[in-house]
Amino acid sequence: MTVHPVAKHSRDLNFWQLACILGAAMGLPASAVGGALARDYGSGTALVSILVGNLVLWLIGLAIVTMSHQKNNAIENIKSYMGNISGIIASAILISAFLFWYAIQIKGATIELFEHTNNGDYKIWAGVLLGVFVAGLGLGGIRLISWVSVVSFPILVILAFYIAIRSGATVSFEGTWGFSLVGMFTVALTWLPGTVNLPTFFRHACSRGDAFFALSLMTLFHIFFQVFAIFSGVYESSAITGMISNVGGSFFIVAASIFVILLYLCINLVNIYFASAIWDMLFPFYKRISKYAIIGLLGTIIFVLLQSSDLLFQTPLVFFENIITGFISNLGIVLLIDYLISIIVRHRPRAYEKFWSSICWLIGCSTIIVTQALEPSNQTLPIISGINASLLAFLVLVLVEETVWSIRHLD
Amino acid sequence: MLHSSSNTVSFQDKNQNYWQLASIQGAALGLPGILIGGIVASEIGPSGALTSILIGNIILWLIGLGIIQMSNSEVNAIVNIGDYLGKWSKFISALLIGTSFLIWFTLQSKSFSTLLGEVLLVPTRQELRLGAVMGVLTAILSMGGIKFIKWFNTISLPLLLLILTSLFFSSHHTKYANSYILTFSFSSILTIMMVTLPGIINLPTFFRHSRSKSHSFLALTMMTLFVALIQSFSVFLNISGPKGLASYNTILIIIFGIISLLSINIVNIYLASGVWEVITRRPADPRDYAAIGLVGTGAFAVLQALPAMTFLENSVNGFIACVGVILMIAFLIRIIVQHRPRKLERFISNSCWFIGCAASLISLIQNPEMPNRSILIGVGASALAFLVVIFVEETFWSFKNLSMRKSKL
Repeated sequence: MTVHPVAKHSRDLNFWQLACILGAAMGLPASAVGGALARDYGSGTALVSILVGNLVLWLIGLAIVTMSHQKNNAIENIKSYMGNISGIIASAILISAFLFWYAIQIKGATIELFEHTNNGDYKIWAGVLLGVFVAGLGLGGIRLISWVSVVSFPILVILAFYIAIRSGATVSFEGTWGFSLVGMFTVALTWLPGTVNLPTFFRHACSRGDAFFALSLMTLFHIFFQVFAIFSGVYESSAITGMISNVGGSFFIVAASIFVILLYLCINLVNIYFASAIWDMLFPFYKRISKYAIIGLLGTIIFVLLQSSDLLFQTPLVFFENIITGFISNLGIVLLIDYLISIIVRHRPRAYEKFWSSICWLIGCSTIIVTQALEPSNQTLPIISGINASLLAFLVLVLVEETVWSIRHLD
Repeated sequence: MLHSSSNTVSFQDKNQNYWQLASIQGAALGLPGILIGGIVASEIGPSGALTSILIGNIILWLIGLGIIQMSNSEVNAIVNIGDYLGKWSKFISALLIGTSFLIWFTLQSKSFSTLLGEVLLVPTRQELRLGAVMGVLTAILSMGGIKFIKWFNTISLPLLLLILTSLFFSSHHTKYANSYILTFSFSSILTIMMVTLPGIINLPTFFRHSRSKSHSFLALTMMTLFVALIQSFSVFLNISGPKGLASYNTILIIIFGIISLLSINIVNIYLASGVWEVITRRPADPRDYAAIGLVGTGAFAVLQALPAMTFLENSVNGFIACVGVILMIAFLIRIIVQHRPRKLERFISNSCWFIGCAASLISLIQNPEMPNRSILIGVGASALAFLVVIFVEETFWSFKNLSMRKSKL
């Protein structure tokens, strides 16, 4: 296993910087999950599901941060547990996902900022401007991302309170304080792909204590943004633009616009940096800082291509997005189980460990594709099915391995 | 240091091989455990039932593996619980297992007497007498201790499989009304699991007799296969109750009923002897086994007509399922969390167990007709409580270690 530890001078981000970078990188679509749950299940159930879903994510994140030894980026971590081939496949999936999410975030921001203008060209040009702007900011690397996030986060919190108060949304707690399994999964899936990629940022932590504390704070920040969506009635991507029309007033318009732009900046800077870890693996010979700008520009080009052909959010692309998200979520669970097995199973060597982990991932991914094809309108079920299939495959594998070991060691 | 020498009670026969261990557990299913496959099949169809049996038993295998790994090879199940949860929990779990013994002994005797009633067409009073006679016989046989159990169940298992095979070939192959394509439900897997989960948690009481760790592991796998196979027979035969069995050859069914009852109830008595060992701190002797068996028979006479019997059984099952989950999580945390001391470890585990039990009981009171749901809620509440505790513990630890820049990354 080749480990490329991050340079020592780059391991100097403290807990607050890490928490701000990843906490502010929720993005509007992910935050809106809180509001959508409140609409579907009632505010009480939505709050409980948000808390439980984020706690589960925290636990997975804790394992992923621990297993990566805080030295590897996400791809090197995947390679060390699942082998080179899986690493390359994961890289291809992750880079597709990040570029796609980059485009989706641009789309989300342009909807929020310019939906009321009803001018399509205006939105495309604004989106291009935003995409290029973030690509340019990406040239600053991890230092600039840290600086932008630390400055943006408190502003985002203040603006979130302001928007929630001015939104006039009525929050009903008439439903139960129950718990929805589907709701919990929906919350967990918003950040599960991000959780898999946590090592890319946490390798910069100045200490283990800082990394763990940042993870807890990040979880609380994510809970904050999702709860904000409940209290301000944000349950879809175009909710804030609706608020701008309803509430009015120049100050509110400025505040809401700054809120959207800052959220967009934070998430897409993080998307660029996530993607850069994959770049490092695919193009190890090209390590110049301009790679960040190239990634951002590629994302912007994808936005333009999809936007101009009006394909974004249409069925094949929604299908593609769900599949990709499912693959990455499944990868997170496979890594987690692999890590647990490596800790627990110490009494015997595990031959072909990386191969079998890759097979379990493959089984999960195949299940996701089949379920998604059968249930194209359901976003959660395919991912849950895929995760269950991987878990079951791991269970059968361990059963066979333990049985073979015990037969060989009968005295 | 997990175990103090005062916790270990000396016991006989530490040389059982995988086949003997697997036969003891595989034969000890009892009628309700055998017929559960048919019950699930009547609800979700045969393919769904078979899938649920397979998945449910594989999950049970994993839990069993954890329970065997975590326990010292010299202690019984209750002492194992005490090692992880402390003295008070050891006594509470002894009380629970003692209560559950009375319930299981009663349920097994009742299902046997009902079967005989159906086969021989005798009135209810005669059924009760037959059950009591079998209870006394079990109590006498159990005086042979673990060596007799080993001998009896090693012979019983192939006999049970032979009888089931002959029933299969002489069956009418009744068609299922609802024959779904491969499917399973959370609920059906849970139903399958709940039949043998308490037995899995009690595995250390039997597996301490194992010759070696490899024999224990292989025995666990074989036991899982035997249980899955026997449960699958009730799916193929399409029988979900004593009435279904009564339509087959009378002599075969009576032999089948007697063997399955004796196999499970002598194992139940041996499990209950673990409670006796904890209370008296000495190994149980033949008279103790007989006394336990007679108490069980008395419980059958008194409890079987009790209306709250099902509620009591479901409550105890929920509490035992919660302690199983708590043991597994406590074991995992002990392995994984190495970077910091865990103060109040037992107190936290006990609190999480209590939270799970309370949630399970409240749910059962609200919906007594949904026992599986209450178990799921109890287990979920315990797991969630643990998650919150670990979140707080890790956050607190990391906060205290923020300035540790010297730690090597």
